[in-house]
Amino acid sequence: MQKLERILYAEDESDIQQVASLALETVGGFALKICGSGLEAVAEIETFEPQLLLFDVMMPDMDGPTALAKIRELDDYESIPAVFMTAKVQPNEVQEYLDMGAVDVIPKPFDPMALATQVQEIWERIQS
Amino acid sequence: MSAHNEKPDVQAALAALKEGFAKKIPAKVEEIRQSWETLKLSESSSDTFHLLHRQTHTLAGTSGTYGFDKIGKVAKAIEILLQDELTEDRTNWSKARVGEVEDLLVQLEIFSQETSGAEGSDLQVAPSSQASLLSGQVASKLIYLVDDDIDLLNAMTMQIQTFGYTVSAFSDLECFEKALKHHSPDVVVMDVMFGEGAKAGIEHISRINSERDQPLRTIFITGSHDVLTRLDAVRANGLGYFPKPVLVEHLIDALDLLTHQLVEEPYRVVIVDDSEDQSEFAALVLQQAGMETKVVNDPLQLLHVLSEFLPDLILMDIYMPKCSGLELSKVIRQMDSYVSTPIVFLSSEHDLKKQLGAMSLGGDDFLSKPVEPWHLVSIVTSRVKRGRMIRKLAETDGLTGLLNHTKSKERLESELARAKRDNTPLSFAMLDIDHFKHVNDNYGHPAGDRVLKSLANMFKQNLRPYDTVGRYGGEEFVVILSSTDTQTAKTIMDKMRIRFSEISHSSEEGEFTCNFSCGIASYPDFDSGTILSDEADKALYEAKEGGRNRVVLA
Repeated sequence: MQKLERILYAEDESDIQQVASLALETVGGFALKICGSGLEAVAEIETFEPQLLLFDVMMPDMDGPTALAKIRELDDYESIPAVFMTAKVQPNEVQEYLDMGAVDVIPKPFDPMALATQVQEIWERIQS
Repeated sequence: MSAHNEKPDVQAALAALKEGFAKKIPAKVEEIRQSWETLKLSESSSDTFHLLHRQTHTLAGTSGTYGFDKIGKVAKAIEILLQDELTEDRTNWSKARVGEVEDLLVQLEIFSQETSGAEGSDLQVAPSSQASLLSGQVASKLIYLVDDDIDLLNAMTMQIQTFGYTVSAFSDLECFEKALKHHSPDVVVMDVMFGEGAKAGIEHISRINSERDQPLRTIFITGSHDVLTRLDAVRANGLGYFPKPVLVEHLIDALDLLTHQLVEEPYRVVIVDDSEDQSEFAALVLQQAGMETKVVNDPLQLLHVLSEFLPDLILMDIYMPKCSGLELSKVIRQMDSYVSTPIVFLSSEHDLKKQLGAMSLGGDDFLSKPVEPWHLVSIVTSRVKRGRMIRKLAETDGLTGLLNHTKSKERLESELARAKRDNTPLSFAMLDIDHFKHVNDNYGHPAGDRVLKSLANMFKQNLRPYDTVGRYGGEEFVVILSSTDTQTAKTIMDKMRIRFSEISHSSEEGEFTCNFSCGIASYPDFDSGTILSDEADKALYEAKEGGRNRVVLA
C-alpha cells in the first residue's frame, strides 16, 4: 500500500490552519501545504503534487466543491481523493459531498488530537 | 488511541494556541457586533449580510475547534438564523427575528468576557457543602463534577445536591486534577469532550488512574453515542456512562449504587462449635476475608447471641455436647426472625446420607472437616450474598429500596420499645405526595415512578443512618425519627418538604415539580405503635384538608 505523505489543505481561517498544522504535521507527521482559498489550492496543486486533498467547504473566492471540480479537470488529477471538512454533516448533506466526488467528510469542529488518525484511516480505507 | 500520551509537547503547543485564540475572541465578537449594527441601519446591504454570516460561521467553527463550546454554540445559533434569512426574502425580517439575534449577541458578548477574563475557559465553583439537617449526621458523599458547559455544570450541581451529596464542580480538567491532590471524591462525574480533545475526559481519567493504587470511581457523561467512545470509557474504568441530556434521577441511582457499595457492611458470621481450636480457625479464615465473626462455644448461648449480633450466616458444628447442631437448627428455623438466615454445617461427618439428613432439617450446606480455607470463604460468601438478597426482597419495596409496609410497622414497634427503654422521644411521620394521580395521568407512570424514587433517595441521603424510611404503599411513605421530639421532627420534615418541592422532575411531557403533605405523631404523647400510626394518619388528613404541601402535628 502506498504511504500517505503529502496533503494539500485548504482553509481560509488562520486560527484553524494553525490547529490543523499542529494536528497533521506535528502529530501526524504529514507534509502539508496550506492554502487560504480554493483558488490558491488550484494554483498550487501541480507544484506540490499532493496525494490527498483536505478542503474546507465554505471559503471566500472559491469554495471547496468548486475548487475540487476545477482540479478534477486537470490531467493526472481526475481521480485524486478529496475529503471535505464541514460543520454540515446531516446525512443528506454528507451525501451531497460524496456525490461531488469526495471520499469522505470530516465533521467540524474536529478533534486536533484525532485528526491525523481520522485522515490516515480514510486513506487506508480507500487504498484497500 | 491518539498520539496524546507520547507527545506532551503537542498538548503544550495546543494549549498555547488555545490561549492565543482566547485572547482574540472579544475582538471577533466586537466585529460581529459592528456588522450587525451596520446591517440594522442599512437594510438592503447584502454585502454586510454576507459578511456577518461569514463572521458568525467562522467564529462558530474556530471556537468549537479550540473547545470554547459555549461561544461556538451561540455563534452557530446566530449563523443558523442568518442562514434561514438568506434562503428567504430578506425584506421579511421580523421584529421577533431581530430580537432573537440581539439576545444571542448579548449572550455571546457575556461569554466572550467570561472567557478572556478567566484565562481560557477556567472556572471553578467553590465546593458547597450541604447543610446537614441534623447534627451528628454522617458526612455526605463527595462528588466531583467536571464539565466545561458551565450552565449544565451549575444545573447539575444543584440537582445532585438536592439528593444530599456534596458536589464540587469543575469546568476545567486542570482545576479538577489540582483538587484531586487535596481530596479524593467518592465518585467523579466526568464529561467526555473538552477543549483538549473529543475524548479528553476519558483520557484524563485513564492517565490519573494509571498513577493511582485505586482507580477513581467514575461515571462518564457524554454527547457522543458511538460504541468506540463507550468502549474507551469502560477501558478507563468507567463504572457508568450516560448520554446527554442526563436524566438526573438515573444519575442519582448510579451514584447511590456506587456510594452504597463503599459502605456495604461486612458479612457477619456466627460460628457454633464446642471446640475452641476449630472455631478459632474458622473465625480467623473468615476474618481474613473481611468478615465479622462471633464464636459461640456453648450452643445454649446461641439464641442470645443471635438477637444481639444479627448474623448473616450461622456456621455450625453437628456434634456438640448438650445439644446437637441438628436440634439447634430446628429451633432456629422455628423463629420467624431467622427463617431466612442460612445455616452451614461443618462436621467431620463423611456419610452422605447423614449429610443430606442435616440439610433436610434446615441446613443450607454441608462442609466436611477439615475444610480448605478458600472453600469455606467461597461457600460462606455465596450463601450470605443470596441470603442478603432474599432478605432484601422480602423486606423492602422493589421500586424505592425502602422498607415495605410490614417491615416498617415492625420497625416502628422495635424502635418504640427502644425509646421507652432508653426514655427518649420518638417521632413518626406519615406523608403522601400531593396530586400524585395527576402526575401519573399527565406525565406517565415511568415519570411517576421516578418521583417516588427521588423522594426515597432524598430521605435516604438526608436522614441519619438509624432513622427509618418506609414506603407504606402507593405514594404514601413513613419516617421514623429516633430520639427526636415533635418540634424537631416538624422542622426536619418541613425542610424535606421544601427541598422535595424544589426537585425538577423530567418526563417526555416536560418538566414538573411535586410536593407532599405530612402528619407527625410522637412518643411520649402517644405510646403505642397503633396509636402513633392512627394519629399521624389523622394529622396527614388534616394537612391535606388544609390545602396540602404542609406538615401538621397530631
